[in-house]
Amino acid sequence: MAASESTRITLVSNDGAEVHVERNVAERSMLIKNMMEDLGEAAMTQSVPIPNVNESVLKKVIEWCEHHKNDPPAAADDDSDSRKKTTDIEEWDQKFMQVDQEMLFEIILASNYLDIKPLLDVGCKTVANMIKGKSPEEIRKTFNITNDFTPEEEEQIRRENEWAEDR
Amino acid sequence: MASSREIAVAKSTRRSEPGGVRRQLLQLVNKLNRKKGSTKESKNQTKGKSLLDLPFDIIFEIFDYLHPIHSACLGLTCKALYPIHWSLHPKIPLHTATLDYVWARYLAPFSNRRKHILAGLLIDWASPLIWSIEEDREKGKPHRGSCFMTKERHRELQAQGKKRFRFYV
Repeated sequence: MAASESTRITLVSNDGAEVHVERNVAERSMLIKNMMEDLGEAAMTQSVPIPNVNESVLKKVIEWCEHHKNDPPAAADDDSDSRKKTTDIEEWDQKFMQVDQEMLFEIILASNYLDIKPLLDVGCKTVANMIKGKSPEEIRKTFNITNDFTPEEEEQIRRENEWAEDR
Repeated sequence: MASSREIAVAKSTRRSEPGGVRRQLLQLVNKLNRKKGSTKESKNQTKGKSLLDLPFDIIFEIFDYLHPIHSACLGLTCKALYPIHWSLHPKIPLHTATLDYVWARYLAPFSNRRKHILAGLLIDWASPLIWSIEEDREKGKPHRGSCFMTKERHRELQAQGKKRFRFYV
């Protein structure tokens, strides 16, 4: 291996695919970053198993990391409330998230596991935006949720919220 | 229909249980965990994943991004999600609206504003009850005190000359 290759590491997805990626890109993931620090030099020569993520999802996540590799790291651990309020998503991320729901959930789960907070935020915002303006029934259809309330329980909800006429 | 005494009892028990939400949340966590195990097999049959397949803390985070009226709609989809909504926004009134509701009046006066007000999103959920509300014509804001009621009761109120009427956003 050439010296210039030393900044690249190899990740192995749970279906056995090897994904080569620049170290600073992979370190958008706090899990990998911490792992690298613990392993030191050994990480450069060995492949790093990512047991919870399959190849297509891993590649997708790395595509995101690649695009965001120069983001200021401060934004990543800004845990204040200012991060929460808005559901605005930058244009590139919006396009990136235009995937089927299965993939969207996989990306969310992977970013949670790999500890990539900004990507997790984008995923959660995307789901939140899908919920906005939908009635409960429309949300159930969108996200495969089964209504397990009995009519009596729904009546109870109307009463405890004071949504039903009190007389 | 429940008598007013039953409602009063329901309300007083709610008030006397400050730890109720916490307990509900605990039950919810258990339920979600149980669900995770039980849906493993059915997952292969149904193509789409359910929102409930996501871990509890992520679902919580999604709720965090929602306006109270959207949180309510998500909470009303199933028993597992309702306590999360309740813990964040207990008792939000039916006339709660997003800013879009007021803006639409000026920017798109003939638009359907139903999606921006809680009662509008819950019309189907509450059916066959209907929603009765007054709107402040000058400010374009719905008045407080709107509620779902039966059609009979609504007719009764109208006959009495009460101002409430069925309102389409």
